[in-house]
Amino acid sequence: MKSSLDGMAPNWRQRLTLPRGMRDAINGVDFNRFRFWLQIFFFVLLVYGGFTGLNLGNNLPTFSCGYNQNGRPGVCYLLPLQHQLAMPTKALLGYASLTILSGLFIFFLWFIVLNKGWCGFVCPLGTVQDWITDLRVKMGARFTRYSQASFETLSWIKYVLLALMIVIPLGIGAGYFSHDLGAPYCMICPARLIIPTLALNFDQLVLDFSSPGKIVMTTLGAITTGLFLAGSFVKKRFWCFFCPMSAFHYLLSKPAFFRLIKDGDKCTRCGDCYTVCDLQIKEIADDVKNPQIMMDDCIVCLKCVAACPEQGALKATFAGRTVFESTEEGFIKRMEKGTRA
Amino acid sequence: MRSERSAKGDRSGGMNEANEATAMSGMSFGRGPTVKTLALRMGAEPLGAKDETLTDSSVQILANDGARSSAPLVNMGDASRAKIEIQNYGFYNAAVTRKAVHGRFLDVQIAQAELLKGAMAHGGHSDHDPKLFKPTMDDKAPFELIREHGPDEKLWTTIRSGEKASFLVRSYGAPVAGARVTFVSQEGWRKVVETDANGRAEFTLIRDYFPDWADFNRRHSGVFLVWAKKETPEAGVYGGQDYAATRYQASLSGRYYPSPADYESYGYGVGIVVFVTAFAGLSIWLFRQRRRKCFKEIVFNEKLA
Repeated sequence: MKSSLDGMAPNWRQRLTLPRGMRDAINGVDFNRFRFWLQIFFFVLLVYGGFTGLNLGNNLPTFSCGYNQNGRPGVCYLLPLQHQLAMPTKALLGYASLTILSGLFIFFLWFIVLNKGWCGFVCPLGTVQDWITDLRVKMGARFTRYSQASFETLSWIKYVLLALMIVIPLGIGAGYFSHDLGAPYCMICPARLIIPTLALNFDQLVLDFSSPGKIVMTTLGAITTGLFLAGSFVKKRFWCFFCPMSAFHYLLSKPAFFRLIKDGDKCTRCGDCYTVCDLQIKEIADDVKNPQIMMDDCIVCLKCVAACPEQGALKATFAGRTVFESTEEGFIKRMEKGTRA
Repeated sequence: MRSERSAKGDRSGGMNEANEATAMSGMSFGRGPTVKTLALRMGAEPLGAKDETLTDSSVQILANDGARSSAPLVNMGDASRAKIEIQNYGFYNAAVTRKAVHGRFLDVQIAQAELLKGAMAHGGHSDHDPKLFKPTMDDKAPFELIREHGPDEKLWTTIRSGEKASFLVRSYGAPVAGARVTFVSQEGWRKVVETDANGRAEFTLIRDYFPDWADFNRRHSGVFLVWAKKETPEAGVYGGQDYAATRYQASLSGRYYPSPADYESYGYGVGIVVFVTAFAGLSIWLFRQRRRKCFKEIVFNEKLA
């Protein structure tokens, strides 16, 4: 019996479907090793790429820290955004609004390609946290998880930081706050101290005594960096939980090309995905109704997909096309090789 | 120019620069033209300099791509001002020249200013073009004073007290050795050196900003003034008057800011990071120790059961 589809030209998705052998190879890949090397590539690119003269612009949706003046190949969008928002209110309501909108548009173009995969694969500060986790594993120390109640409370912090990151610069522009508060989030961001230091630029490791505002902000920056180092040692992706860039990403994530999809009918709620989740997102295991399973804390690292034993229960898609999905064979292959913590 | 000024030899004309806010230089969105206003001033020290007027003169501008233009000096009361529009990023040279014969000398005074269309340019294209960071030099100028740029100097770099500033004295593109170069800081500290064989004179920008801590402003800018002099045996006729030698004097002013060493501390910065890391680490360890419960064996008394 002939199907009604027989004889019809394949649609573009079918034409783009990879051969089965190649799909099996991708789905069975040693994913953690692949991600490890991909992170190293992006780390080198974003921390040292500037030394080669590379220039990716100033609207990057990841922590290519602007304070890493010589090593950066581009700049994290949060820095120019805060500077732009701190312009005088009159200018902000005039020509400067076009500058902000155009910057946001370019940021968005970068962002929709990878969605929050910018956090899971590209962000150099995230990579540093993963390396600190590796160190902890090698030292045999155990990790920490938040209680569910703490998780739900703490997960609001990134939105509070995002709001402050917008309100304080607006207040600076309106004359309510001192310019010494500068780009307030950048002043307390651990990346400001850590990323330039990794590029052998130690200028940010200082306490600035030039004014009360500078003292407060640079002290907060030093404190958050200390907390980052200690926290990342015991809690996987410690800072990502509080990162306003992550919150910003989530607010814009609906039209993104790269997505994490869950087929609840295939999920057995074994909990493997939750166990490997660095951000401790419970919905990845519990929610069997919502196919768009990427939650606000998710960094789209795809460790859940790699750890899932059910065929097609979790998958990463790009523009609707599956690029990596959970398979039993892939799961077994990865389990035999052992998984990273 | 009044003759007694050049005869004293310690007074110099100069041009001070001010931005006009048609575009915000220093920010990446300053893509339109930047308008600079130059003020012609005369004096032996930056703080004591007075506005000066000059008639029928114009400011000659040399762009970093070699393009030449001029802008008229407009007299407003006792002051001459020029507005200069800069289209592209980079350093530009502006110069006003006046000549007069005094006795057997032709005095050529050149008031110079280095103009910058700058950009904080977080990752912008101007951030990566080394051609834009170089000082602009005029190989056709009979006498010029150029501030050398540091190896890390870009379009937003500021000069800070404590750093060395070096200047080149050139004539038709060639270095002038043995020219007397005088440096005066905002508060009047002064030093005179002679240029070496490469036409270079170097000064350390000493700290001369000592406010109370409560009044300290990290953005405080002081003005320095530098001038170079050289006498040459060039003879000729100017304005119908014969002269047997030429005395050149070029002046250049600039701004410098407090050194970060005056208000930044690595000790405290790194100290806080280390302390918080250690304190947080110790707290986590103690927290875990407290939650660790000793094994307690439960023994059933089977006789009672």
